[in-house]
Amino acid sequence: MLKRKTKNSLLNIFLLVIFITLGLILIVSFILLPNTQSVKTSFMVSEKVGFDLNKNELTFGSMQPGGSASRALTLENTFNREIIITLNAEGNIKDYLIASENDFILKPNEKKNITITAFSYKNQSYGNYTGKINIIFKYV
Amino acid sequence: MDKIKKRQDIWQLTAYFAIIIIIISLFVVGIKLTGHVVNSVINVSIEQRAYINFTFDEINFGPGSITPGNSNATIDTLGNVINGNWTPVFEGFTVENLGNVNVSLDLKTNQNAASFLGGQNPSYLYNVTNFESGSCIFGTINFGEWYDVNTTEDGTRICSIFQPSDSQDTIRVDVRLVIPADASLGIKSDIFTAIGTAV
Repeated sequence: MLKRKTKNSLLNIFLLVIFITLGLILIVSFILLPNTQSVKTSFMVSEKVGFDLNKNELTFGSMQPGGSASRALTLENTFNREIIITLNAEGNIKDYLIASENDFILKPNEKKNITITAFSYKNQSYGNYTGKINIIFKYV
Repeated sequence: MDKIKKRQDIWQLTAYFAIIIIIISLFVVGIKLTGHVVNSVINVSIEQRAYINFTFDEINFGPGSITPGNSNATIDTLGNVINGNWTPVFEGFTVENLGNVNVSLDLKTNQNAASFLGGQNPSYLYNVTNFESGSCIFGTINFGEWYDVNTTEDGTRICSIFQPSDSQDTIRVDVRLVIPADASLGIKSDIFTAIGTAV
């Protein structure tokens, strides 16, 4: 009887520890750790100038070496707290992108237009440059 | 006996609650690991407009001078060289609609004739033609006619509906310069900006 009681108590303590630990993970995950949304992005360097106004991806079309192209992203904070937004890029496009603003705060329901410019160098080889822009956001 | 049962019920309830928390936590951790956000707190929308810059020195006339005795020389990307010794250039810019939506097209430059060339009565002109027949179905200027460049923010609307279909999606922009004999010396370069907006 005593052995069973001890076993139950240990199990209960074990469950309690798991409960507290995971509860804390949950709280930290939601409140402290950042979330990320991504937008695919691409441009082409060729002899032509070309538009690709895809509304689901940030496509810059085609530019000549030494050219540049800009498009805007609108970001809206629909949450009821201030968030801080950081943008970064991945892929072989990442060294050819400039954001008009980075590491900024959005108030609840605030919208902001961010212009993303893709550029190429004079001596850049023809080809496709692709990747994604990560929009990382967390509570202030 | 009741006391023990009650205590057991509390622990059982705690256990069930812990299991629920475990499931939610694993779900949250899964979201973090995959980057898949279920409950987004920001809306991201992509503007259906693009500004593409291209440099005018891409059409490289190279060095040249005005034939002595003339007040100006005219050169363009249609191969014309009048009163000068520049190498004829036969290629203008081509602009293509690579996407799958109709686009309106505006054109502007950074400089006008005076700032670009200097001197008395300079001209800095462009003309637009369909490189592929029917590419622009609602032109807002006369295609094939020369116009002064426009340095205003919005530029000049050159086409209201620029089509995306593969065989009808390319226009050509040619440039003409009238260079006065007293134009400023040096290498000239300017930036054209084509502004495409989905319609």
